[in-house]
Amino acid sequence: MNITIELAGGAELLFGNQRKHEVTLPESDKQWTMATLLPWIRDNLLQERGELFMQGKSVRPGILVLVNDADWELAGELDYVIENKDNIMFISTLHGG
Amino acid sequence: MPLSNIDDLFQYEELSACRDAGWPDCFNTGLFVLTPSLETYKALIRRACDDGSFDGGDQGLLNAHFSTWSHGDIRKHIPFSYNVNPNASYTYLPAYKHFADQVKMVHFLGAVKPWHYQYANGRVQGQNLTEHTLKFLEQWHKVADIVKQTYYQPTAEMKAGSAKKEGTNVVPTTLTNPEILRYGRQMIVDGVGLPGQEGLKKSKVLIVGLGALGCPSSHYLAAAGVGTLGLVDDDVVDASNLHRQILHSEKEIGVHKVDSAISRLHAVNQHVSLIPHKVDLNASNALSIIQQYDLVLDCTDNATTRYLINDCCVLLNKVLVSGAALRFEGQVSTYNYKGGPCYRCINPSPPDPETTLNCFEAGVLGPVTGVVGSLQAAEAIKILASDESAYAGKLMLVCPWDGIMKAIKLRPRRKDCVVCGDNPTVTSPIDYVKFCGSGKNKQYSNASTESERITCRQLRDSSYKHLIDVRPSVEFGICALENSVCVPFMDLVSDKVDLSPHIPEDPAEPVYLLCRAGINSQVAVQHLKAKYPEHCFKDIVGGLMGWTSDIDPNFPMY
Repeated sequence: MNITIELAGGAELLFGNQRKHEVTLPESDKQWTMATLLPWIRDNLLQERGELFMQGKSVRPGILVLVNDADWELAGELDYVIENKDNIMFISTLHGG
Repeated sequence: MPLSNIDDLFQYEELSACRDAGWPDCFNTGLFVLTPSLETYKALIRRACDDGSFDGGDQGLLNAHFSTWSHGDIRKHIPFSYNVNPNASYTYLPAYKHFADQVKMVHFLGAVKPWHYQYANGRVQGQNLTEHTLKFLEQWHKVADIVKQTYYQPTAEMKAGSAKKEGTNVVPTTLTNPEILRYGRQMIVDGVGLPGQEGLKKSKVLIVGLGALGCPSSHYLAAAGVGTLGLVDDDVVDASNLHRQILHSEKEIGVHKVDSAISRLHAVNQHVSLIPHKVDLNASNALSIIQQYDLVLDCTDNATTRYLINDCCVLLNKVLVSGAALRFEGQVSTYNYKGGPCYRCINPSPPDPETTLNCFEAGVLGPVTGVVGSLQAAEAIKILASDESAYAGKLMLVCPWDGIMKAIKLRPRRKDCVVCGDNPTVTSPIDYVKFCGSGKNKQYSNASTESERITCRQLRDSSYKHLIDVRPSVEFGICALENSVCVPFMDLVSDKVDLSPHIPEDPAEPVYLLCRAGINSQVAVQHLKAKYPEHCFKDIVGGLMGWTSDIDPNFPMY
């Protein structure tokens, strides 16, 4: 399954300063959900300490998660079943001004 | 006053007119046909300036300019029926009565005009008026009545007669004619109009932060004619602000930002009421300030103040237009708008201060903040003028550097939100410094002990062999100390680079760590000590900023 992972708002700094990643998820017996995708991203794409990206089973406070340009809460958060060609985006909330 | 269709005048060429009765063969300028032309206009202005008018009015000027009319092309002579003076003393009465049906247009000639006559119950009151003059005057008033009823809705105040004045045959409004002229270009935009401009005029907007976002947004709102702008800041202008904080200029360095902003905004629009709030907005003063306004713009630069403003806006039921910018990116959203989410619904827990960046640390491009501040102003104008929002329930992502601008859909209001939810637990402002774990200005704790540190002076007097600068390479490229090497902090702590070339064979030779302000270098020391426990690592107190202030004033600071 092929998906796009995008980073913005500074979250890309955790991923080698690369804002867009086209990735192929390995074949699996189980469906890919956000709950399984987050640790996969941490173990395969993240280039910094894991706690800068995740807290518990979810993302750490200050990072917004979007599934196909909408807040992941609208899609079911951790239970969302990933589909081929999905766009998953992680955005750090900005505070500067 | 036309009495029938007069489209056939279009077949006449310039300059066609009716004769003014008697010598010297002038045409009457109550009605004439000409072709609109900038050249004719300029020629007439030139003639008026050079020669004036022989009768002091338009008729003298036009007859002098189009002087061949009387003896030229007879086809340019329009029949009298297009320019009939109802005054009996001027007209051949029996003939008039006979041909009255052919009158196309009436010219109310002279100083006394139809609107000077009393008119009631379909009758005009006047002395020495002929029957047909009276008939035309009454017809004029009937038409005027229809126009008034169609386009003119008097206010209660005007009905009471208190606002009667000459020339008020227009829609009553709180705007003056100079205001309509001034704001016309935005008033003719669909969605603004007269009600929208009146809405802006009576609105009060609070702008928190007169930095990179508050400068452009307050400028546009003042220029747009928002009635009252409250301005909050407690800082003075610094030279490092000028690349993005566009209200402030070089001569205002050291001046309070509120004073600098007021002076500039007053120059832009002297009619806006500008209210200074030279304070640090905090839990004890925020409610009393915010409650004086209709809408709030969050133009601040830290999460702590953002939670404070959000909570107060929810408690006082004010709309919050929030903007933020860092590096080459910006974000805009409208919170607490007609049941939509608040800032806390989207960010229920504050970020770890260690993971947030500010403009001092990460930098920001001026035009990016300009875009974000402008979007905030546009949103405020939309809400105040049309009572509709563009960004409620959405987050606008702006990245001019990559050419990306897109709005993403946010979640709805959280029923369990602690401030705007169904059972709120935050019912008054809380301790936001404690809540966020950091104040407006970041607090840093020292990671190094005294024995692990040296001062800039000690570094200068030592013959150091190993000096690692942990700033990002882009900053190293701006300025660096001699014989230092660049190993960016992020690379160093993530072990992405091979550090061995920088670690001396002799563990007794000290390795010095340097950064911009003396914070990251301490963390780097701890990291290297854990990796190479036999070696000696020291960080430099105050970093390169300390170097400039203590050793070399010519070393650049940024």
